[in-house]
Amino acid sequence: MKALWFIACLFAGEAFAKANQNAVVIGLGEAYSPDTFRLTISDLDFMFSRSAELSFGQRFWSGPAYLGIGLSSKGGLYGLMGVQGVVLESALLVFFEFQGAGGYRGDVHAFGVFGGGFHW
Amino acid sequence: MRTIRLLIIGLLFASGPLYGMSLGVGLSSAHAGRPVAALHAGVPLGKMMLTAITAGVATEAYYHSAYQSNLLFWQKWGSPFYGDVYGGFGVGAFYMKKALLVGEEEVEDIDQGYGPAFRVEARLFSTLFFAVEFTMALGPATVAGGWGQMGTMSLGILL
Repeated sequence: MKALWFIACLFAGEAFAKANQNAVVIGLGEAYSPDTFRLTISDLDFMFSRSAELSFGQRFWSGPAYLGIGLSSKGGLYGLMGVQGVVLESALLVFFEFQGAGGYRGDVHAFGVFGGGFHW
Repeated sequence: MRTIRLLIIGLLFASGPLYGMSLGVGLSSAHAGRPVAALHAGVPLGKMMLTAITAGVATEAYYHSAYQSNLLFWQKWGSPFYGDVYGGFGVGAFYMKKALLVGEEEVEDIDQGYGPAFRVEARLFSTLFFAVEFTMALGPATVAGGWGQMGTMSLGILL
C-alpha cells in the first residue's frame, strides 16, 4: 500500500502542498523499526540512516516529490527519492521514500522508509 | 533471464544513435560486500530511461551472476555547482543465479524479483556520472516494510 501511495503522489503534481525547506523527521524502515533521522536546513540534508549511515547532501524538488543526493560515511554515494506531504496545513509532515547507498567496498543497500516530522 | 541477457546485449550493441547513452562500471548489492565489478548501460527513450546492469564472478569453487533492468521516468532535478542531477522512478526486475561447485555436483540457487525502481545520478563536467540505482522487489514482506532489492553504485561516462 505504501508503494501505491508513493506512486500516486509522484504523479499528483502540485496537488499536495510542498513542505518548507527546513524539517526534522524520523523514518521507519524494515519491520517499522527506526531507520532514519534527518535534519534538513534550506534543502541541505544531514542524515543518519541504516543505508547511508552518516551522510550529507542536497535535495531537489518536483512538486511534492523530492530527490536527494550526497556523500555518505560509507565512503560512497547515497541517493533517495520520495514524496512528502503536509498534514492539514500544519507543521506536521509525512513522507515515504526509497533510499539507497553504496560504498567503495561494495556495500550497497536500499530501504523503503515511511515517516514523519515537523517542518518550518 | 534470457530476455534480460538479450536486452543487455542489445543495449551494448545498439545500432541507433548513441547520444545520451551512458556506460559505466560499479559495485552491486548482489555480492554482499564483495567488490565485484558491475557493468551498466543506459539508453534514453524520450522522457524515459532504459537501463541494464550485469555483475558476476566465477571461480573454481562457485559462480554468482546478477542481471537487472529498469525502465524509469527520467528527468533533470537540478543544477548544483558541480553539474546536473538527474533522477528517475519506474519499474524493474532482477535475476540472480549462484551455484556452489562441489566436485561434479552443482548446488544451485536462484533469486529474482520485480517492483518499483529508482535511480539518482550526478553528472560532472557533462561527461562523467556517479549513480545509485535500485530495483525494490515486491513480496509478502513489503507489507512490513521489507523489500528485496538489487542495487548498483556506478561510475561512468555519457556518450
